[in-house]
Amino acid sequence: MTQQKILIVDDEFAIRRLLCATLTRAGFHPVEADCARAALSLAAIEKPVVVLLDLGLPDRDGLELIAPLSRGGECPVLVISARDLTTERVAALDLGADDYVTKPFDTEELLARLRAALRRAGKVVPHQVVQATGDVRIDLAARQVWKGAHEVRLTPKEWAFLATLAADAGRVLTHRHLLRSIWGPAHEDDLVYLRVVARALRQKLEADPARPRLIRNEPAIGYRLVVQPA
Amino acid sequence: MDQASATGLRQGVEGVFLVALATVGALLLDHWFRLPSLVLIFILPVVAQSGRHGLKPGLMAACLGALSYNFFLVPPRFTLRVTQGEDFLTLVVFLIVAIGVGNLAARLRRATVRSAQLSAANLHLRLFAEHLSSLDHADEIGPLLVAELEEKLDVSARLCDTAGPAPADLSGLDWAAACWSASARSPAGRGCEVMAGSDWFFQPCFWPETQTLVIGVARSDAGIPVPPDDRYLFNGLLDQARQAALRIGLAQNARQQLERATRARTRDTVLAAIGHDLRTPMTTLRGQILAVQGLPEERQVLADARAQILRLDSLVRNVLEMARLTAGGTPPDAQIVDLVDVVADALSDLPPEAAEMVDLALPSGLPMVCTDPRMLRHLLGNLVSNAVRHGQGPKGVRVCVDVHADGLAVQITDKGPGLGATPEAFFNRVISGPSSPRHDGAGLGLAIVKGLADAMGLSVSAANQPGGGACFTVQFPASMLWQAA
Repeated sequence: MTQQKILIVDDEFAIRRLLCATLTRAGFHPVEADCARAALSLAAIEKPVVVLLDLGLPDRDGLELIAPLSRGGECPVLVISARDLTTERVAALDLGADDYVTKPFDTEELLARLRAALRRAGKVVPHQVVQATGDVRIDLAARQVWKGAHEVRLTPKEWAFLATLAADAGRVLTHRHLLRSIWGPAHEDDLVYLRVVARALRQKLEADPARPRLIRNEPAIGYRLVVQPA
Repeated sequence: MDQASATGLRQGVEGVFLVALATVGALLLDHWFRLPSLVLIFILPVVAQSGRHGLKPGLMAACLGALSYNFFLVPPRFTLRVTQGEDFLTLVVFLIVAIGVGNLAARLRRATVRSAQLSAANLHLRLFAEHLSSLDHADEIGPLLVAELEEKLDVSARLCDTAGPAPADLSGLDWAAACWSASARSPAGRGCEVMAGSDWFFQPCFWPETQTLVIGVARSDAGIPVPPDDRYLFNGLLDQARQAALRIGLAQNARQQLERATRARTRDTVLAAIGHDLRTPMTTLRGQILAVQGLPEERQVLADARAQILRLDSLVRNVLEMARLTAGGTPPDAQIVDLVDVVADALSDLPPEAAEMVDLALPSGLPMVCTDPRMLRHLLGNLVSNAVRHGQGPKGVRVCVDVHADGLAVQITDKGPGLGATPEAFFNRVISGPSSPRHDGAGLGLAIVKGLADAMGLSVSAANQPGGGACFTVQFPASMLWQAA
């Protein structure tokens, strides 16, 4: 089996070398680009399975590259962002980025995100049963949630929220995306709906609702359903 | 007054002349036409007079015409006697018709005159508006308005600021009228019911920001300063001036806001770039340390190195936040947040084992809070790290949320040595210098806690616990809470 190619786009040499070493060790075949132009041509030639994209590039804004690099969702783009202003990350996700990691990041965490992105990209139909962390099992087809051996009853909105997260398990979904798909476009700014439903779900599903492990909040960005590490 | 009586005299002479002309015409035509129809000729002077000069000369022409017809044409001729009933009827009907026609003609004339006045006033207003639109400063509007009023209404005008001292050339009554007008926001002085004894008429300008300004007008002949015919122009000029003041105010505001926004954007860009440049080497370093397997006895060294990088990262974050706060701050971006999320996120600064040991007392059913999540996370994160670092490790650290009548309080307590005699001084330690048991960079963290709290509208306090240890409290006012229904 040929190694999967990963395109690294970063202008910092040390980061590229670190990522190359990490990816090689994890069994991938890294390809490097140090600017937007190189990234676009390499993406066309090498056809990577995932792109790691730093938003601060010398020749163009990284946000512009998300659409061409993802080739219409065929190739997941993981954004590496060092800025602590969240608007840029939300913009990246809205523009079609699959996920993001923030500098400074753990290489282990990066690999986990990358594998999750690959799993999502590889699947043809969504998983029917999602095994989430904390022994929570979500059956999307039967519309059932199990915590351990017990089935948990959810309200329609709670189910819609959980199912939307589970269909993209492991991936961060922006507040706006969640609100639009659950309550409709007219409510895409009503953040309080999400907060209330998320809290109710945690009361029902989390082992300790004060320390949420299952439904993770990404501050000012969105929510993520944490899946059991395979 | 002389001019008015001269005009009256001229109109009277004209009336007599026209009636005489009509009489001569009627006498000439008498040969061919029968009597009652000749009376129609006397309508002509009435129409001419009331159409050109108004109702009064018209009525005069009607009376003169009736007398003349009676004297010259009605038998017995050259007397004012009327013998036949039919002649009497003719005379009466003539008078009624003449008065009616005169009235109509006079009204038509008045409407024409008024519309001419209005179109002249509109022209003035347009020119004045054009003139105003070239101004850039609100100070220039006043003199221009005064000059325009003096020229167009033939009055003396002045702009008074009633917040200032009374001008020497205004009488006490005039000044009282001006002040009353400004405070009651309605006209006062001559021509009004309020303080009509004043020589001046005052009206508030209603300019934005300067509510105490009034415009005053007076006539040298002590007449009504703004008679009804001039009202339209007067109010129109004042309106235009107010619009101009408004426009200039808005333009200035917009300019200032744009400048502020540009400055804030530049600052954010610079800070983001600095943050990027500082974090890039840390990311590399962190990855490299993870990549090194190391000998078993070296593992602890590597773990320590990793912890140091985490601290360096939080230091960088603090320094950037301090730069942002001292530069005037990015305004808080408030949204509804769950305190559970923010506390969990703040604990993620700690190593996972340490975060697990922190005691959380978050009652279920907490209200949501409306605030900037990034700033609140940074604030709580700093307080928690501070408590762990100075409170003998994470074991004794407790985060506790209390809902009370005036809002909500988040308390972070530790079992460390406490804060000494002046707990509140810890928030200012960056300025006061290192002189306490809590050293190694905690000062910056707490100064940022204070700065963030001020920017977000929260209050923070520090105290010693009765049983020992420090207690930091963050107070949310009730207005920032959002009770889930």
